[in-house]
Amino acid sequence: MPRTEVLEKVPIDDSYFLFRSCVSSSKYPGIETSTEEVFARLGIELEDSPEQSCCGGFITFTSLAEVTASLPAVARNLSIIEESGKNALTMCNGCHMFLTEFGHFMDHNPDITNKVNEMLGMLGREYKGSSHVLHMLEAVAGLKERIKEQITNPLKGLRVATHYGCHYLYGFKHDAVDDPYMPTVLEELIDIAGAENVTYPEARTCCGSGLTQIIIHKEEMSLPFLKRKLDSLKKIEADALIVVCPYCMTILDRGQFKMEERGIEEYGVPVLYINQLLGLAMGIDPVKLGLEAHITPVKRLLEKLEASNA
Amino acid sequence: MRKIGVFVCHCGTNISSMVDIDRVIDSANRLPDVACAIDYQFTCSAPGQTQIRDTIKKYDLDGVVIAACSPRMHEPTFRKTLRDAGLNPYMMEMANIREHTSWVALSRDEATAKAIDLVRMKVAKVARLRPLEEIHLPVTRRALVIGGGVAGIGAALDIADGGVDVILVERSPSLGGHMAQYDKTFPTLDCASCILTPKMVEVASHPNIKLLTYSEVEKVTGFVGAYSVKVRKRARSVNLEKCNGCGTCLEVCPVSVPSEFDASLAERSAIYRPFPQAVPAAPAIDRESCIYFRTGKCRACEKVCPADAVDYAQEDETVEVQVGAIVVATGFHFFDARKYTEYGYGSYKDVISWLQFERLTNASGPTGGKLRRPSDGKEPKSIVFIHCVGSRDPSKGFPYCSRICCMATAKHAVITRSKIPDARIYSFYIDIRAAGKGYEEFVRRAIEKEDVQFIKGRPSRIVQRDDKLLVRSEDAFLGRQIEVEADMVILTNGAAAQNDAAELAQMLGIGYDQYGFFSELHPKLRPVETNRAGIFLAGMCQGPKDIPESVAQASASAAKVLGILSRDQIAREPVIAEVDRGRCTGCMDCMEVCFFTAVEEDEFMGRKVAKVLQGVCQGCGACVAQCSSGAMELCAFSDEQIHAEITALFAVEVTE
Amino acid sequence: MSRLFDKELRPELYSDLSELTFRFIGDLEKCMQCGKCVGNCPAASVTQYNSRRIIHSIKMGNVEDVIKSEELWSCFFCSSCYASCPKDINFPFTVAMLRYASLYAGYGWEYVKKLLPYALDYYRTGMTVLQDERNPNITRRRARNSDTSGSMADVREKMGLSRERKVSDRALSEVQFISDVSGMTRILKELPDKKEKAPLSRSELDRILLVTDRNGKFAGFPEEDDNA
Repeated sequence: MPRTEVLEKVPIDDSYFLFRSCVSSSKYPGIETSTEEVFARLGIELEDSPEQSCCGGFITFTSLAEVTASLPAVARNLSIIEESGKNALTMCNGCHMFLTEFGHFMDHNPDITNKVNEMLGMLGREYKGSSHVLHMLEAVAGLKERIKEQITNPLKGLRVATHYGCHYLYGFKHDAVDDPYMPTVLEELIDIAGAENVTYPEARTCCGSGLTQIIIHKEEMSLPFLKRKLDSLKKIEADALIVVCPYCMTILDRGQFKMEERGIEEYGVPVLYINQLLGLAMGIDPVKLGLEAHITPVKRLLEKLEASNA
Repeated sequence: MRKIGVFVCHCGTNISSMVDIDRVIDSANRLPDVACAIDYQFTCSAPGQTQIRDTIKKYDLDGVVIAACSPRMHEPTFRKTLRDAGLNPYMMEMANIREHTSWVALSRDEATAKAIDLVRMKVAKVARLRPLEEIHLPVTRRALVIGGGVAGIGAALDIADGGVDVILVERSPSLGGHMAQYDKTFPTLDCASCILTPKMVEVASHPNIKLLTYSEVEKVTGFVGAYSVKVRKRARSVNLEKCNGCGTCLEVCPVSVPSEFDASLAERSAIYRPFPQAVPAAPAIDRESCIYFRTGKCRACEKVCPADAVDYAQEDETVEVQVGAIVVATGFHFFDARKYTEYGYGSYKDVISWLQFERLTNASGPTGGKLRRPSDGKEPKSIVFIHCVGSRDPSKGFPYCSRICCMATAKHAVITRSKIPDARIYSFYIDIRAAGKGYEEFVRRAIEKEDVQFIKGRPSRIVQRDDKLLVRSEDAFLGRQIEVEADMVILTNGAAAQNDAAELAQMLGIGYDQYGFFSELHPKLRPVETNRAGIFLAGMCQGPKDIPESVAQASASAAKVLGILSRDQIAREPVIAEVDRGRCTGCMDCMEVCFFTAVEEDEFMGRKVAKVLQGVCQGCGACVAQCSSGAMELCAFSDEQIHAEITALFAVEVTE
Repeated sequence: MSRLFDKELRPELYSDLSELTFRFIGDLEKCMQCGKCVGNCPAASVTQYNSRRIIHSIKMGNVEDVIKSEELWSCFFCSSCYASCPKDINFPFTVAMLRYASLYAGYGWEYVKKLLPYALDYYRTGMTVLQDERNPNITRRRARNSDTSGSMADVREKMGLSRERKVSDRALSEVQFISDVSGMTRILKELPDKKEKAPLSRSELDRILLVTDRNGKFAGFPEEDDNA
């Protein structure tokens, strides 16, 4: 159930700074293009900048860079957002977490902020703390009415399951726009898109990528953990699984392929970003939406949609 | 020239370790109005008081300064000492050379200097005090009890048995409160209704008790001995005199709404009795769900009633009652477990609350006492209990412990064992709190004899898989994550203050804490009194507690009430505001600022003047500060007296 | 800072953990040891990792036990523990800080080395994840799905995008500047030669840390009793 008191504080603007995600740009560009297409239909302008780099938080949690090293990197990105004079829209649980957590940390520790700004000053930049960084879930929750108006091709007969990921709903706790254990924002949007909501027991379980565990302890931790979720998903015969984070998408999409490769199990459930699903319901070209870049094929889903619309 | 005696206390070493008593005595002796200055180890003790009395007589003192602890400790003690010595008890001041001096100063010099200053100030004040007399007010020999649960019932019966009339006001249509909903009580496993209903009947038939159910208190004014209370008697739509409780109307009513008494596990009609043994037995019509009151149709109950007791034309009636004392026993409500979305209460049908469990196992409940899954009616074979839902949780609930949940859960587990002998029963806890008589033994019985598996670990989440509930938790003693597959989960949601507790507290003028529990006057020594004289507390409304504690508090409140109402008059300290009617201009600014509504208009020599209600005034001094004509004065804190104190503070110490 | 983490009263903690760390772990004294964090924890379901026990170890002054362990490297950073904690203790950040302490003590470099390629990519391009695929089967599958060669550059082009997203030259030089000035570049350079100690398993730790002195430091095995 969305938390109205949090939702009220989320700024719904006419234009945002689109903060690009490395994983999205390099592995699933459809996340970015679908976001741009959908928001264009909603009448919201998205501005980006080649000056932004990777959010910079990943390297902190790899423990390679001390906080003193990654903090300026994150602050640099925040200062670029601030330069645009707009609030930022992120497409990734991770980007959102690092930008906002480090931002808060700096806001509460002015002595550290001063040191960071010294370094940024040498680059001609400054962190002021003036921009709000939105998570995609917050934005679409606040734009429900506008989205409803733009649905032209309701996804009749499509059975859709959801995966919210961990870092936004759990990491933000009291400030998240939805309840971490019984969230409904995506379900409401799926309903608006004309599709049918289905659920599975392990719906709210972590995807298993564990930020760095997918690299460090892939075999003994990430993949066994992922299997539990995929097994649960398989039983309900969903046509698609919706995510709000490219990192979750990576493991959920490619994890199925890995299981297949090793002859463990075949799942075949396509994984879509929320804006890709909304894009389909708005009649946008699937190629533009980047559905061909996915590893678990999306073909069957598109065929099912065509058949039901015929 | 005055004859003031100065008594300096050592308080063992509490004062003398930091304050140089000899120098204080010496300095006091040099003051002009002082007749003598002596010291003693423990002035408040019997020999100490004897010393004061003897000294007063010996020197024919007309005023006393006692340099010792805070007046909050022993002011009443010393006032009595003065009275026993034949001196007006209000010709005395205490100089606080302990809490304000020896206990906070950082050096002996500092402490001694301050003690000398304080004594000098108080001597200057006492020199200007005048004798005061206690105020005597008439007492209305009647009590009001708000709340008809086990605590309210207990208080009403104790007061009534003491020969005093009682009015008992209860908000719902029947007496009983939450205890009437329970199945059994711990640790004896007595049937809750069986021990409660006889008392309910006793209340209804007691000659000294007037029972007002389906009624609410709306306004309280006045002061101890003379409270005036407005009670709204809500329209029951049933004539209490005519109704014989046959229950025919209940059977014909076509409406079905969730039953509050059965915790929404069953339904009731619009004309309803909360439970079969309700007192009074006459039902009430819930006008919001009744078809007649919503659309004008039906009237089935009226048609079938053999006693012609249904009366749709009944209206709310407000009555005003005069009482001398009030007992507040308004109880609590169970924490809303829906907040715990991780446990799925409200979404998963087989996750139920404490109250719902009580109703399921209660023989007169919706399943006739059989423990069944709400989803499919099957008997559960694997049952999980979760402690501390809402309690001990600053993030989602409240930080305090609800005191009774560990025992309630153990009780539930034992009852479950008796109903389903082959069940697997688990109870997840953080700590076990079983501090009452027979409580620890009862928990051990649950573990050792009834084979209830107690696991230390607060469950993180419940996941639904097909028709089973998976409870994911840590077993802290094993240090491992575990998962229990359950057919049914019972959440022990804790005790929260009533939703409108703050409003009631403000109406009564009593204190309450951040959770809404009403504040006792002193946590150790005055557990049933409030900051408002004549208003007492009993039961859960003061804080989470079990039934024996509620009943004990009820008796304690009753004893206090009987104490006040045993006399025709009560005495009040005269440290209150007073109007010099000659100077009063009748501007009534004092009435504007008085928080206690203790000022009224009066007439004097054809002029409007202010009058202080001696029973209500708390002596706060706001009116004194506001009064521009200087007519209002605070007895024992007059402008002249305070001015003398301040002047004395800045006087230079006379040394040789 | 509470008594539990006061520098003068608990010097043994400060020897192992840095000043900055304490800004994040000061919350730990609030823990009521209820274990609600463990039930949801993905790491706890596949390893011996136990967040409640880690907090208890630190409060007891047994920081060594945590710093040297391999289980410290099991955390998934999912924040389920933070979400369920009744005291709102932000444990994921605590783990991140403890990992730094572990690295300084010489443990855990073996895990961190696996992440080196990503950090080097970040330094070289300003982006942590790049378009090349380590698994050729992925490219093959993508080729089939998209009716292209399967390379991300071709897929992007078909979508109407540039063949590769690149950050600006200014951005890259700034990223590298920050990395150089803050010391990250040096760490990356030294990393391949880092001599690491293998983190200890739970059973090894339990064995050697059984006996501690008042400061929580290992005090050796109990002496053989002459009068036994």
